[in-house]
Amino acid sequence: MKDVYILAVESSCDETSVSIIKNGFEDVATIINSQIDVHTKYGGVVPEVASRLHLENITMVIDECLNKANMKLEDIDAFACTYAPGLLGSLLVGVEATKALAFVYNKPFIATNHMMGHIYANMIGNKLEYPLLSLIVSGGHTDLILMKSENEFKYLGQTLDDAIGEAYDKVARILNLPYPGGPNVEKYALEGQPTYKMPQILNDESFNFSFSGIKSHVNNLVHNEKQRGNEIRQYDIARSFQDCVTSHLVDKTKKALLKYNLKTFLISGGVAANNHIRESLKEMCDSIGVTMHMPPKKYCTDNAAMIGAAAYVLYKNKQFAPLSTNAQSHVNL
Amino acid sequence: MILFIDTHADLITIALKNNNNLYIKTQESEYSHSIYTMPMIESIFKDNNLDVHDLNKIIVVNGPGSFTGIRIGLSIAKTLAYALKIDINTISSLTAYLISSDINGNKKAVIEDNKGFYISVFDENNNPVTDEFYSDEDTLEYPLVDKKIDVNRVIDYCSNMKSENPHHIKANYIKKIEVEK
Repeated sequence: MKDVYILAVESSCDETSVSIIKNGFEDVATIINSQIDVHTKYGGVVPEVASRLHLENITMVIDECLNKANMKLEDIDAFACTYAPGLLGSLLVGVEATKALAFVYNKPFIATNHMMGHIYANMIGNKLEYPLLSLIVSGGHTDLILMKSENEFKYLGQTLDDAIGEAYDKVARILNLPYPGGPNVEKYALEGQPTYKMPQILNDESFNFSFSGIKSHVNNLVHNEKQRGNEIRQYDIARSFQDCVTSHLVDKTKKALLKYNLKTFLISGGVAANNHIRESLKEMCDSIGVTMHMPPKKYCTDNAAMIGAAAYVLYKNKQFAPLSTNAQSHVNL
Repeated sequence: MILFIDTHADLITIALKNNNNLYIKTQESEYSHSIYTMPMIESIFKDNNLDVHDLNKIIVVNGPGSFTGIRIGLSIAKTLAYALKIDINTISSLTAYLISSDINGNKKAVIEDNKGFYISVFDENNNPVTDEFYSDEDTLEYPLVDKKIDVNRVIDYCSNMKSENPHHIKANYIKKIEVEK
């Protein structure tokens, strides 16, 4: 079969990213323009600011990616973008720019779900065996998804309240750690001991998660310690928190793997860059004979390479989208 | 051949000028500019048997107006201009209203949003009297122009403008957002 080159655009949050992906698994070129410095000033992502920056940067990032790949727009077989879920104003910039390219070159337009992209980050330079269990852990999602085949998604469980990444960010704020909070909590946890008692999270038969209780617990804990005039041991709190949420992830994942008798597991999403979480899940998988896939860290956080990989699956199935496609803030797979 | 794109308000306007023929498509849309705009562009070429590769210029309204609407039009316009390597010009929505008006003498264009007014004033020769500005109140006593755009006049108005770099195309928001203040 002829080689297929997909140009993919990701603009769902605060990174403008463009990739060219060959045959769904080879990252020919990826450019990520991060707005993190701007949003750090405001202590978090400001949607209107993000949308404005996407608009300013979009064609430059496309151009940079083509230059890096040493390719022309004429060489591209299909144009893909993230259309959901995410910040509407940000998504729209990528969606409209990509539709315009598909129109000019009369090539398929592929509207890709961001979460599908996270999952297929595991396909870049890798091969997957189905059926498998997929765990997405990010700032907006904590999903356990059963995939019987390449393009089949069955939700086994989701978070009932906050996403895990959100909990990390909130704990960072409680501990006065700078934005982006999650990676800083991880750094602090490395230096600490699990000396604080944490609550047991949602120890039930479901595959759902919950992270708002532990966030409140950490908040109350810090508040009470302050009231009593005790020292707040940030490192130990970070470690106690991280151990607690990690074991919640490991328990539920293990339960699902055993119940559905699965031999393959993959993790994805921004929080999948967390070493402690990666290693703890790997250890559990090894103990029950499950093969675990995890993307390189650069494909965990938002990037267009994963969108190109996911778009290739849709391309093979001729699941093209019309030019009337709108961005959407919430869509399940 | 010139493509005109206006998505700053509830009425989307797409126009194509080829030689002396002007083709126009309009569509009312409150929150669905993304659904309509690209299909309107696609069909204005198709319906008139014209090819997008024969375009040599794009004129796009860059605001003020709906932030989301403006970004939809500008994302499309700058990507088309970049991909086709053709000229692109932006025009303010207020300027487009002012030059489309038949009022002689000083006149003002006003766009209202939920907190105030975007205002621009032109003299009889269509030269700006002040910079465009945003204000809590609209107190200037000049005749008010209609919120209507005459595409032919806009094309003429932009005919001698130097092309902008598509990479540098920005929206004309005028208003600062809360966090920037």
